[in-house]
Amino acid sequence: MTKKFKILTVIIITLAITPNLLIKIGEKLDPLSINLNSTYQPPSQKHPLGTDYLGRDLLARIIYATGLSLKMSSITLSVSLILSLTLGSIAGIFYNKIPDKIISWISSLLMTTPLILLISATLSTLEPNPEFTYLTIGLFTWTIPARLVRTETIQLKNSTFITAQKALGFPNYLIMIKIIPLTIYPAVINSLFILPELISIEVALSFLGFGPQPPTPSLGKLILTGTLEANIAWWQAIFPITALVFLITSIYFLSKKLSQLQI
Amino acid sequence: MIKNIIYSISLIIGMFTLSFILFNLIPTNPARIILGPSAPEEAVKKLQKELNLDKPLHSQYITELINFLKLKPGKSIILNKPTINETINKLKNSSQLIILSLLIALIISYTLNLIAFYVPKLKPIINLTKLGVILPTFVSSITIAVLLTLTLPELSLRYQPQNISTLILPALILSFYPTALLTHILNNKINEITQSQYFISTLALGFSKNYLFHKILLKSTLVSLISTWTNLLSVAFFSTITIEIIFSIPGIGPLLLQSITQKDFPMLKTILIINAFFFILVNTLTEIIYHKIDPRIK
Amino acid sequence: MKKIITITIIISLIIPISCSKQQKGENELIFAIENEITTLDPIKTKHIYDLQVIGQIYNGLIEINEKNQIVPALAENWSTTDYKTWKFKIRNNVLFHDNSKLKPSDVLFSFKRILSKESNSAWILSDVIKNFKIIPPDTFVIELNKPDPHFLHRITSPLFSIVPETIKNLKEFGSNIAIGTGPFKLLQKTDNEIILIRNENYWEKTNGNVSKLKFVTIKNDQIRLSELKAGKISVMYLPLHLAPTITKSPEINEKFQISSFPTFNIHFIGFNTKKLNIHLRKAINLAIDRNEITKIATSNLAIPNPNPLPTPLWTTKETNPFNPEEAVKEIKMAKPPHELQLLVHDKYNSPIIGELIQNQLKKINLNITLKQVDFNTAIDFILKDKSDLYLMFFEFVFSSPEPILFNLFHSSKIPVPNFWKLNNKEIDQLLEQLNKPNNQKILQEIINKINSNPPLAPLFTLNANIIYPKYIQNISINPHNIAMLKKVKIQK
Repeated sequence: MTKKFKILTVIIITLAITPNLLIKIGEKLDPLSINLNSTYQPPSQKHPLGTDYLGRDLLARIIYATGLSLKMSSITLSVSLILSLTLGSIAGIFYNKIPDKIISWISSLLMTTPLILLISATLSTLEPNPEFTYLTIGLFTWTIPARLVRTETIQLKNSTFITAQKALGFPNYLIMIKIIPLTIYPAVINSLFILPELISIEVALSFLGFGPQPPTPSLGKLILTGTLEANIAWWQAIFPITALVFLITSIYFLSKKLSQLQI
Repeated sequence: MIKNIIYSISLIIGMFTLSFILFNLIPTNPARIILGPSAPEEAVKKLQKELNLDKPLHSQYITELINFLKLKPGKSIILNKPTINETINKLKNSSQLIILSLLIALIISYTLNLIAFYVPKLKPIINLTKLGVILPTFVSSITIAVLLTLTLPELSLRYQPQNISTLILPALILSFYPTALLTHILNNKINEITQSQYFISTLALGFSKNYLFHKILLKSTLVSLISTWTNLLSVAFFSTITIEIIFSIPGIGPLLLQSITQKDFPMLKTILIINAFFFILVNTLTEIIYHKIDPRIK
Repeated sequence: MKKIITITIIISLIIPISCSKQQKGENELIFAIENEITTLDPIKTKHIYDLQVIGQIYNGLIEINEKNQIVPALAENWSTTDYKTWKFKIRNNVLFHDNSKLKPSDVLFSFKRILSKESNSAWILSDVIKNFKIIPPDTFVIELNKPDPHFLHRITSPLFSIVPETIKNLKEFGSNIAIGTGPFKLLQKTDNEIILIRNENYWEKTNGNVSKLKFVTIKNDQIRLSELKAGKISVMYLPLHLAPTITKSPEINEKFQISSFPTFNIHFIGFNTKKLNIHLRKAINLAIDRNEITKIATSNLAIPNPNPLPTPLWTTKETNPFNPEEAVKEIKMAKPPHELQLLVHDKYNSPIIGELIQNQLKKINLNITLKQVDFNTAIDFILKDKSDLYLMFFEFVFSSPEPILFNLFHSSKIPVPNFWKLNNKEIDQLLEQLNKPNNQKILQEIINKINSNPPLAPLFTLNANIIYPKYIQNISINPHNIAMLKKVKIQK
């Protein structure tokens, strides 16, 4: 138990610190100052990744944007995880009874409605606080880990020591409190695999126009302007995409390693 | 099975209600969108009345719900054409794309596993497909689009309805994830079976590798294959939206996005209905196929 | 399972392949546009881009040329004695595309149709027209409620095209059928393609040699550009966000030509006059460097413009009243709030303009935050006063300043198009005095008054910019943004 606890804390701390670290580094390198005399500069000593259409340093903007994307997706992930743990375990405990049926119905509902509709509706009604909007995306993505939590809960429920507790007359909510900690570890590890998908949703959204406002750099916007101007400024297109691919593959391999740990 | 249908219908009604609520949370006014910013206020109010948009929300909901249950698809506000024609048109394009990509996925996963079976040394090829699982569709499609623009600027990527070859590249990208998934599932199943007693004993009977692969292995993997395939079909919709937007293919994706930003509720309604029917169709088909293939499953 | 798949594939692959073989000697001009044309009926259109095609199929009584001069079209000449009654002599050798002769009754029918309930352009003339009349044999008369020396400029747009009486109950008119008197006839219309052929019986002799004119809808800008480069289309508008790529590409400059034509529009910063006091608005107006914005955000494909009228209609020597020192003085009197919000949308490089403005206003210590929404939501937010500042543009169908100023600033036009809810009795009175033939002084006074307490900061007038290969000659666009394609010569 303690080893799992250690690993969980490491994961949480990394997910909390890395984005902010990246953002701080990006800020130090100055992503915002406009210099109209040095627009569209190819990579050079002064600007290792070149400049964009307003003369801003691309390296700073990419580092900042990557940190921002990671931060936003981590927020979404945490909301999603909390919701899936609570709702999934409730569904599991009351397996095939009314609470389970309601929760499963809502879960199927959220899965059939197009994500785009859910997200654009919420994003356009809520005011621009970007963190708040990613919180709401978490509201719609809890369905995937919840499935896992529910199955785990059902299995655990049928295990010997829980049935013993039930026989002794423990009420359902106390049993739930015993079960949830056992489901946290697999749920967290599993949801790390969803993180790349969440990052891609966040990037796709800012590519489509929702998301962090200019002049704050965001990966989606950087990629969008990059692809439009790829013919005259290849660095604007290649580098943001490389950063995104790198981010996603590193998260994938880390999660794979974690999931293969024998505990 | 009837229970399933009732359940699905309740889902559809729930989805309809949720969409109606969300849709009306979006702030814009369709009449204003149609007439543009400089049209006078009276013209906008007149159009609103024509479109029944000035009635209170709950009465709008009830009229819409009744129309929905009567299966009346209605007319698009923005395009002034019946929504059903437009949707079916775009659905044709999208389904071409999806079917083509899933076909490519089947072919490639079949070929890779065939090669791995015949030439065991080439097994690591299977790991190549891992990249398809790691990168979400959006990322792979945008990477390839950019690489193509930079290296082959003369390549015309315009989608032409008559020319299927223009769909091959988007279908290929769309197939990354399904290919990877199918390859791995096939591979896992094949490994499982080749290590089972039953298979080792058939080896002793001296069948050719071809017979072993096609008649024995594939048949046993059919169940998982089909369930994954049908799963992919319903998941395919979301990834096709991103591909269609990036490669400018006039399919359901851009239509959905457009109906949301232009507040065209009739169009959105029709797309949701079709989406829901598709979902139910795939689920019922899966059940039927399961029963046919393996009567043990209940 | 595989059988089912193969059959489905085969079925979905059976699509009729349409051939487009070009006959020898045919000069085809393929014009690529961004939007699908919704209708070819001049009174039913709700979108300004439909007029591009409508302008090729029909004529009005009068039209304007590239130099913004009124030229006779279906009206050979016209006269008025009191600016209240306007008499038009209808040309007598004009045939519609169905070979019926143009009569004054067709003109009467068309104008009555424009003012009818089904028309979307009735608002342009509804409170101005008193009556229509025909004086045989060939005179059409328009009677106005009040004398208006500039009336002709209200009807130069293709919205006022003349259609034949015979289409009265034709339901397909506008969707599959279009009968006009214009230089091109409708051959075929599908969702993405409209094919027109040259009208050999056109009443005006021109030197153009385009025999077939195709309008093709390609929504994605980059695909449209690659089609142009590959020679599959002949002309397209230059999308602003691709302008840096295009203007700097040596390959484009070698084979293609870019032409710019001024049109009736203004792009501006709108102010929420309740939240921003006069000194703040004046300060912002003085702190904006319009030349910088036009250079960076529009690659100099626009004309800097500090006046609330499009440049073809009003020009001043001072196009860039950029004065940061004055701005700082005004700011001190303004006591500005901590932060202001600038609403930007997604068209015409609005986000880039927003970022430039943010940078410029930072230099006078004004902090601006940007908020980007899609165009339709932006209109909604503006109408609900949800933003301090906003970027917006207007495209006008009038070819003279008077109706534009009246619609933008008269108190009776609140809330649309008088977005800023300007309610100033002096300005109202001046606007009502514009009905004089020589009203330059009044126009100047109105503009001065507006600029002294500005409800908006106009930035530039965007040109209509087209790219086409060098072997196409004589192509031009009039200020209504209608391409004059009858004179185009293709010389391969």
